[in-house]
Amino acid sequence: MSTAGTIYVLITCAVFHTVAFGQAPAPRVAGTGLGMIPPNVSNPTAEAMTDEELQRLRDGAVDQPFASKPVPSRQNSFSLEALSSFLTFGDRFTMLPKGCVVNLPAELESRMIARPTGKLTPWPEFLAANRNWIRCIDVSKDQVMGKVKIPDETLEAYRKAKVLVVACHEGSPITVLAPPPVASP
Amino acid sequence: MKAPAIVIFGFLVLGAGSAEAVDFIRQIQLVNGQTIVYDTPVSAKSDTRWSKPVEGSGSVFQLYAYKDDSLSSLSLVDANVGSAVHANVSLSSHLVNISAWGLTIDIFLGTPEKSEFLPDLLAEKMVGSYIPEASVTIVSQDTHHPPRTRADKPYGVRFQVGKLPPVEQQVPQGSPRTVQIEQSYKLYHPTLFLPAGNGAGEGRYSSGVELSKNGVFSLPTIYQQLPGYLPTQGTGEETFTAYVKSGNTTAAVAAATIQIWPVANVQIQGIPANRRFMDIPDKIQVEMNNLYPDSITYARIYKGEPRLGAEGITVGSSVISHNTYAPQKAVVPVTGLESIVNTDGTYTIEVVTITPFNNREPERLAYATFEVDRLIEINAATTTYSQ
Repeated sequence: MSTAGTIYVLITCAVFHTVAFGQAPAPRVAGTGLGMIPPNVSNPTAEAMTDEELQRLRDGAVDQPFASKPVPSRQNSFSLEALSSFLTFGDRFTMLPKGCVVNLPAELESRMIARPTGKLTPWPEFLAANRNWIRCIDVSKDQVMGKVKIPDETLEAYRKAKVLVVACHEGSPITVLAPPPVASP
Repeated sequence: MKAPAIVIFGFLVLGAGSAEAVDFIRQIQLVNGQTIVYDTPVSAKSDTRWSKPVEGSGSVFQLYAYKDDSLSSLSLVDANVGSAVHANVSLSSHLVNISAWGLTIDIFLGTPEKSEFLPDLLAEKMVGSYIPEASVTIVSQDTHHPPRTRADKPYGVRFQVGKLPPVEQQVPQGSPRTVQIEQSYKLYHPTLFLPAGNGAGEGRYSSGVELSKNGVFSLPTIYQQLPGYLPTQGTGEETFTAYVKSGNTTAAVAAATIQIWPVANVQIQGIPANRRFMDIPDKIQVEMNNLYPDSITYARIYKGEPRLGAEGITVGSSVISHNTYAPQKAVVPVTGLESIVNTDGTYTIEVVTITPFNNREPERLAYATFEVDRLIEINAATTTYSQ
C-alpha cells in the first residue's frame, strides 16, 4: 500500500511539473495541416463581428475625443519642395537647400528648376559630374545667419567665371540668409 | 542668451549601396522667421549624427525616406526622434528604425523604385529649449510591433507631455504653452494593402485634443474610424500626432501609427443550401479573404445544427496558418470527411480563425449545413398482368 501511495504522489508531482514549468508557447509559424493547430485549442467562443454590431459599439463608446468627420490633411509648414532648390543638367537633378545658391549667372538660370524632373542624383555626385559650372564655397555661421555678408571680392571672381556658387558649411550645402538691409545714413 | 526653440527638418533620402540614391539629413532652422536649411549626408545604414547647435527661434526635424523594394511592403516606420520620444510613421508602409537627436539611424532602405519621385516625409519633430516634449504610445491587443489591430478591435493610446511651462512662468513670446493632438489616417488599397502614395486616401479627423499640463493622458479604447470602408473592413492606418505652435509655425513633437486590417471573410463553397446529399458532398472548399496576418484558420465539422461552441472535429485539409505582414487569401479543400460523416443526418461545417484577439480562442467566421441521406426510399406500385 505504501508503494501505491508513493506512485500516486509521483504522478501528482509529474502533473504538477508539467503545469508549473509548461512549455513556452511555440513560435508562430506559417503552414498548413493539423500540426498548425495549437494544442488544447478550445471550441469557438465568439462569432465574427458584423458591421452593424461594430457600428453600435463605436457609437456607444465613451472617451472618443477624435471621433469626428474626416477632413483634408494638414498642410505642412515646411514641405520638401518649399524648402528645396533643384539643379538639373541633362536628365539628372539634385536637391539642395533653398537659398544656398549665392551666385546664379544668367546663363545658368535654366539649370535651377522649380519642379524636379529626371533622375535624382546625390549632391556629391552631381557636383563631381558638373564641376565645370558649379563651385562650393565655405561660409561661416555668421554669414549663414546673415550677420555678416559674404565678401564681394569672393563672389566677383565667380561672377566673372560665370559659375554657379553653392554655399557650404563643413562640406554640406546650407542656406545663407540675406543680411539685413543697411540703414541709409 | 538662451537659444530659442529650434525647429529642425530632416529630409532623409535613403539608399543602400547604390549610386542613385543617397542618404542625407536636412536640418531646418528658423531664424527671425526665415529658414536656414542644412543638408548633411549620411553614408551608412547605421549612423550617428549630432545635430548642429544653431541659434534661432526654432528647429524642426523631419525625416524623409524612399521605399525599399527589398523590404516587405508592410512594415511601419518607427522613428525615435529626440530623447525619449518615439514617432511611428508610416512610410508608404515600409519599415525604418531611426533614433535621432543624437541621430542614430538604422535604416533598411534601398534604391527608390522611381528616382524622379521625391522622398516621403518620415517623421517630424520640433526641438528646442522652450519646446515641450511629448511621446505617443499605441497599445493593441495584438502585441506585434509595429502596432496593428483588426478593424473591429479597439486599441489604446497614451500621450505623455513634459516641459510645458507652468502658467506663471515667463517664456519668450510665441513659445508654445499647449500641445495639440490630432489624429490622421491613410487608407490602404483593399487588396494591395498599400497607401496610394500620392496623397489620395489621406486626411485627418476634424476634432482633436489640446493638452496644457504636463503628465500622461490615456485613451484606453479607441475604435478605428477609417472612412470609405465598411466598419469591419477598415484597411489602412491611423496616426496620432502631437503638434506645437511656435510663433507662426506648427510642427510635430511626437507621433505614433497603428495599422488596421479588416476582419476576415470566408465562403464555404460546394454546399448549396437545402440540398440533401446521398453521400458526402465531394467538392467542398473554403475561399478565405483577408485572413489576419497572424492567424490560424480552419474548418471543423460536427453532427447537428449549427451551434457556437459545439465540439467538433478539425478538418486537416483546411488548416492554414499565417504569421506575416499583411492580410492573406487562401482557398482550401475540405476533404477526408468519410471517417467523420459515417451516419446519415445533418452536419455543420464551420470555419473558424484564431488570432491574437479573443484571447487566441477561435472565432467563427462562417458555417454551412448539409444533410446526408444514404437510404433511398421508393414508393411504387407493381401490377402484374396475366394473359
